[in-house]
Amino acid sequence: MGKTKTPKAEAPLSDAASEAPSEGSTDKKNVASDRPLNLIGKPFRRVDGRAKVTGQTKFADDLHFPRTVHMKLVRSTVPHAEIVSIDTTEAAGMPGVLGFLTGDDMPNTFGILPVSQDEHALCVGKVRFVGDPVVAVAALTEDQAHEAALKVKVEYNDLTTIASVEQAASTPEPRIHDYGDTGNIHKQVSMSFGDLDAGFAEADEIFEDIYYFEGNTHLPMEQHASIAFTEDDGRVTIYSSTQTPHYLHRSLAKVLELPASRIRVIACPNGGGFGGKSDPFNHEICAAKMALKLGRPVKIALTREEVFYCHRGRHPVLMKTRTGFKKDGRMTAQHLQTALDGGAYGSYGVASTYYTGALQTVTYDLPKYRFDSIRAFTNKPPCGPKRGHGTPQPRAAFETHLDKAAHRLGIDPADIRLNNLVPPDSVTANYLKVGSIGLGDCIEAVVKGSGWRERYGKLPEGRGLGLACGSYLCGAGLPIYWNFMPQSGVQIKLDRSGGVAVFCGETEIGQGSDSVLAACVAEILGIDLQDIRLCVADTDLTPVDLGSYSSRVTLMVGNAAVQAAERAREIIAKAAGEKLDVPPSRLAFSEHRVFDIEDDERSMSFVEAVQAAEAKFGTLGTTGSYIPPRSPGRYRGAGVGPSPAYSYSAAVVEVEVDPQTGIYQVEHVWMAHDVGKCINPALVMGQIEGSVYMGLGEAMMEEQVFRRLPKKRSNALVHKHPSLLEYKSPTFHEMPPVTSYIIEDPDPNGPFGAKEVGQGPLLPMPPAVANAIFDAVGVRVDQVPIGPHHVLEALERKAKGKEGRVGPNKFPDYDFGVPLNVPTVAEGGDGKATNQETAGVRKGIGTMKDREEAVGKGGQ
Amino acid sequence: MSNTTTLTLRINDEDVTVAFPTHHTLLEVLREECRLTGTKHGCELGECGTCTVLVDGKPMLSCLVLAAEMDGHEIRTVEGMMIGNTLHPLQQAFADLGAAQCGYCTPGILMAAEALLEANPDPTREQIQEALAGNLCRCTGYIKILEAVEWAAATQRGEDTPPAKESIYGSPHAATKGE
Amino acid sequence: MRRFQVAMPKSVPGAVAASGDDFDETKFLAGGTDLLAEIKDHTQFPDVLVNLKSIPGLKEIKVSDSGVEIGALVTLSELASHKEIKRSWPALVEAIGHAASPQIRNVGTVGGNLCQRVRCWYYRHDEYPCLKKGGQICYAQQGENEYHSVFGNRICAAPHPSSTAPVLIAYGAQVEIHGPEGARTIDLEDFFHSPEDDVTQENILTSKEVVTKITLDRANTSKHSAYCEARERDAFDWSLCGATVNLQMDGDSVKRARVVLSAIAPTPVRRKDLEKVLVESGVGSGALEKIAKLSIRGARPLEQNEYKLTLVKAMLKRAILKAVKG
Repeated sequence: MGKTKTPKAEAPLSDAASEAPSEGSTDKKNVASDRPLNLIGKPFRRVDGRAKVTGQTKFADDLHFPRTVHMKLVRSTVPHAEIVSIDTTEAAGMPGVLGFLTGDDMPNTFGILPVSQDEHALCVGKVRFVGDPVVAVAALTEDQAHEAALKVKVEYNDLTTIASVEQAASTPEPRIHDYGDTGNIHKQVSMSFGDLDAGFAEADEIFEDIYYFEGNTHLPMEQHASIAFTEDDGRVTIYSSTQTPHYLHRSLAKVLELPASRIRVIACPNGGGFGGKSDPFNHEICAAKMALKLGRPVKIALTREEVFYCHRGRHPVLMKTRTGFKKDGRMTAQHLQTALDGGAYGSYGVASTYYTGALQTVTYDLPKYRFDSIRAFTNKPPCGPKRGHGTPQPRAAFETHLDKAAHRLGIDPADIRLNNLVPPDSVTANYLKVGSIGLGDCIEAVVKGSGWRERYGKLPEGRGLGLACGSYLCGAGLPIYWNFMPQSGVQIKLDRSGGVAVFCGETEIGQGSDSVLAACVAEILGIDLQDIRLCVADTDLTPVDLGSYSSRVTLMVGNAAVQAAERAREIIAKAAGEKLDVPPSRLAFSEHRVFDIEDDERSMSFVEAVQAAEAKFGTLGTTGSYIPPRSPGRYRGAGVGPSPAYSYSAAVVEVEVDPQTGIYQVEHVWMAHDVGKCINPALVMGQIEGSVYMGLGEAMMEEQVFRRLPKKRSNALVHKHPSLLEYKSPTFHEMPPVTSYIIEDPDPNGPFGAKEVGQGPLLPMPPAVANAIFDAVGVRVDQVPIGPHHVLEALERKAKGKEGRVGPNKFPDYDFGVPLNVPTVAEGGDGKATNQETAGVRKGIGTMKDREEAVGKGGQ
Repeated sequence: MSNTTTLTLRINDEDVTVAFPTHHTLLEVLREECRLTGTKHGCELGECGTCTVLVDGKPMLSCLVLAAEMDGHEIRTVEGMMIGNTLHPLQQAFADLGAAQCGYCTPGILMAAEALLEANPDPTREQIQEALAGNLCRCTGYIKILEAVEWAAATQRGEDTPPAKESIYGSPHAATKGE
Repeated sequence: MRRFQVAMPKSVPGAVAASGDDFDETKFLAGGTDLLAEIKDHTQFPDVLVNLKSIPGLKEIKVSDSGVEIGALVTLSELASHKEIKRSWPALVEAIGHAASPQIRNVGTVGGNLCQRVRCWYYRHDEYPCLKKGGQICYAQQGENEYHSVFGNRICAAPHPSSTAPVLIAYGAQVEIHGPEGARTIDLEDFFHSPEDDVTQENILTSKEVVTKITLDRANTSKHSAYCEARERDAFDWSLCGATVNLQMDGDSVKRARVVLSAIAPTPVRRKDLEKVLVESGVGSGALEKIAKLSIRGARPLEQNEYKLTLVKAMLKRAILKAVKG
């Protein structure tokens, strides 16, 4: 009973909607190796479209099994404390209560990264943030479970609350975790690429800016939910809203101490993810454990408040950027320092830490580059990956820094970017291999579209334009845990019906991954989407795909699907060629037929061809897999940043600022994105617009912040507003018109040349808004989000003759030790560090052994 | 007064007799007792619009009305939208344009949009924004939704005015092939 | 949600009879958009909800030569789309404008809008036993207070969230209240009370009293009336600061004025001092500056909400100019 679905475009797109650019169509004369495209590049109804508009899509909380019971988690009400006692006596007597779990039932730790296995399904010994789960309660109804949860008594012995990076750095004890680089600093990084001093010495001007990017959260509309049940002997199955069924599978095996072969994870379509469902979660593990305990299906559906506690969202990051410029705007060197507030657990944090520096080099040429970073543990919900994972923060710092530099140097902000572009097919200072780069075209498109040359700096007071760019990965080059297996696998089953079943571990989170998978197969086999049935995201039935994160699915799943489909085509062609008496290499697959490209009268239907193949070869099936190319970096930390390809974006934002109140509106956005090649332009547009929206939310209002009470009252450090109402996100009213440009600079590593689109276009938005506000009223708000009161405060400061700026003034004085020195390619470097053994990052307090092993192998 | 209420609800033009806890909301009764899980929930506090259904033709939040108050009212959910095996023009436009990405907010938005088009067959973009302002969507940036509602409205009026080419292929630019 | 029962009275006296002696026992249920959310948030714990929607006659808008009577259960949508309200009391329509969301306005009632509880995030979270919930402290005083009151905030800093109340007060509205002793009618201005009177309730109602009607007199309206507000987003949000101005003009001079500020104090605040200046000095730019300056006298901004003083001045000036324009 796999989770199968029928991709079914019941009504074709309207004529206008399918009126594709001239290329493609169905010219049967083209050869197979350079064949025209039937489907790819044209708009088609997403394969899950019909189910989603009829309410038929089953999200995790929509599933129901007979005898299902409900589970609630009792969560910590204090931010940092030892658990003194847990008393479930009164709760156990409540109506309908069936059972409890505590940390003692699940002593094994888990976590997404091998280097930070620091979570328990339920807290053991201590709690680390308000919302940390302590007890699980199951009851016949959700109301009963809730009432019982309220009666569970947990006694705490408060510990000092660590509230900020600064406090973490200055308060090594008590430690939130007994591992990490030092005290409450989870991770410390320092790496230098090339001779930085020489780079700065070449500069005519050196500018330095400090910028703060507040944390924010994913806010998927669907609250996380899971339902688990036991089957057969000793097997457990869980349906869950997860972006990463494979990693959940591994964590379940570890915590439940069961062979992975006896655990089945099925990822339901996610009602929005954005990175927020990429970690294995405690509630998922508890549901499986409770099902094993009770022998009944156990469901947990988180409340909206609990979703805020799951978090794993954007890290708050304070940044200092110091860059050397030539008079003409070319950059000679950059030194970036970042400080991340990680929250209470590791999550993806070690990767996030590296990501705040890794992708600074892939847009503009930085011949020398140094990056220092710390990630602190604090008593807040853990931060992790959100759309852009670790890169929007330094991107905002960089792009506002560049805007200021352009003004100081008297260069147009568009030109300073165009003049610094990374060349295609090059290797950056930190050894990232850039393939295609459509950034120049992106900038030209938005500059022209917005009338930048005529209007920038010339609009009336209160009105302004801002420009910024960005880049993102198309999948991380390395898997999260060290292995040599494929990152994505696809299996195809064909039979005499002519129907094609495609099996893949990929997870549909709304981004359209099911459609990419189906389209790649349909294109190669020359059949319709309606002839394909997908079976996805089921660890029992589908080959492993690592999950929907790091914008990896289109490229990696797409490539695996293409390979599997090409192998199927080859088998069918052999049999069909025999029947038609044509060499297989001369056969093309299109419009449900297999035909001789030199004589299209010699043809047979796809169904007949499959039957011929089944007769000749027996039962038919093929597989495809994808492993990214190896990256040139060989230094410790080189595992974060490499990608098979990079996408690029540029944006111009127009704002109207009311100088009396500081209230501003974004009036228009021009966004260009280099997607390599569209698989489906309608969905590409949707991803661009969605990214613009989410970036605007981060720029204007979204913040995951915490309130602290007066000490004498309580030690609490709690979420400021764990509700959809008070965590403000843009509504229909706040969304401006967007003019989008799709730039297609096909990348040789992408399927059909395709690159990512789901995350990249978010990156330019926050700095573009900030830069536009400067153009409008001449003040700088060097922090995100930019509230009206910040603009007002900056205006008031300016009116009083002070610097018209609001933002941080100081980066913490932190000793990063001796950096890892890696000579650049231009300096004759080979990708290795010259001081791998002596680079002074770790003084060894509780350093985890497996981390050392992982980094030793070139991992994170 | 009782802890349990038994009512015959009128849902999608069908009578359904259900017994439910008196304090349960229409959302809970639709999803749990009636197994109509097309109606989703995003907060259950009236803060997102995800659970929107139509009560006597008006969009309401099923998480903030009690099922016990629904005697004599007409309830419509997304399950009642299709016409036979054919998608409603709104459903068709949402599916074709990608106005449903993750699809979680979609049923609620379809309900609000249906009520709008019932009252105003030719709404301006501002009127659509106003009518749908009580529905949050995190995927689409709302634009494809606006375009889909406009397209569906045109279809319902018998006009053949699909979305502009730029909505699907992006705007033309210097690097566009063939230009 | 915590379990409760629902009473379905058929008359107002029946509703009063069904109500209990304290708020933990019974609550009146109108639209329910605030009350049900509060029960879900564990800030209210009634055993019985007395449903007012089962009572006929509370949903009518009666227009007469002298004015209009608005049943307490008229929804905000119905009120904002009513022809006569749009024509004669336009600032009310403006204030309903973007309140909450369309779905909430389809259900939320005008009576409920006046009786809604404060939106303070400490009040709304069950972990904080604040003064309003019988506790010992107003957490907002030294806590997170960017949206809180800048006036009258010494005891409780939660601002009153209603956007219809200030406009109704500016139009001289009266409310009809039913209780065990029958009906009485009072000025809406006297309906709200400050934390000094009773911090646990924002108005004078007891648990056995219910608002049944709001009355507006034509004599108190004017085409020179306006409501201006600042807000962070145009749906799912509350006003940061609102200013309502209702002027009786004779040429350029102001004969009579009503000025009410909202979202900046625990109650809507009628500013007779500003009204006096308007009548005495008119609406020239000099008078406006004087009024703006005077408007924030006595304010006590908290750590994070000084910006609201700028908003008070700006919204007030805008409302006056808009009202004058008519």
